[in-house]
Amino acid sequence: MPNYSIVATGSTGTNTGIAQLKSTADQAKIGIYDVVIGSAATPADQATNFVIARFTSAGTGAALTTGLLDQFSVTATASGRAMLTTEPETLTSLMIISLNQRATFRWVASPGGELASRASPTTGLELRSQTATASYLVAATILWTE
Amino acid sequence: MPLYYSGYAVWTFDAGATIERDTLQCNHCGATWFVQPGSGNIRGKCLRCMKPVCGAPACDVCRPFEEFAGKLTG
Repeated sequence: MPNYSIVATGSTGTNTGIAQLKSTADQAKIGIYDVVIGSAATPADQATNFVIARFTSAGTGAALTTGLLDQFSVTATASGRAMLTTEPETLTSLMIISLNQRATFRWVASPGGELASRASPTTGLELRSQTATASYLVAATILWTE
Repeated sequence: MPLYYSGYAVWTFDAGATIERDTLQCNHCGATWFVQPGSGNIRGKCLRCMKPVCGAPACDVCRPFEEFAGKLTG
């Protein structure tokens, strides 16, 4: 299966999207298997609850460049967005990550344990800041397979 | 290993300390959680598909995620 990556930066806040992966094909199901989150600002004792959620209606935002982990892979059918101006709808939380600003987080899925979305053109997965004690810049790397 | 782990998570702090947790995934909705004995969260195991379930009422009925969402086919 081909593997892809996006790198996004965004500010923490209440229900604020950091990065979004949207499927654009009926046959392609997205499976996130690696997530890295860390502060891109001078660290302090602040806390954020991040959520990775599945949505059924995508939001809008700045397009991200998709990286091919194998340069000979086919182009990804999913597309990434950051700096969301409109949040997705109908979110189903899949994973909640509590993170101090001084810490870096990484999660890796076992084969078959990916965070998956349905194979539908309007659906996808979003990394969002659900609650935060302060607004600060975070950087996230998301690797997925299709 | 009591159940099939779905992944592995690491928090790394600025002083170099780390916290490491295994994760489990609900076989019905796909929700993933960190394994923390003594957390008080009630999870379960589906005796039909023999996989972990998250404990949400909607996941009491056996409906494997791949059944309605399709497999990762590539």
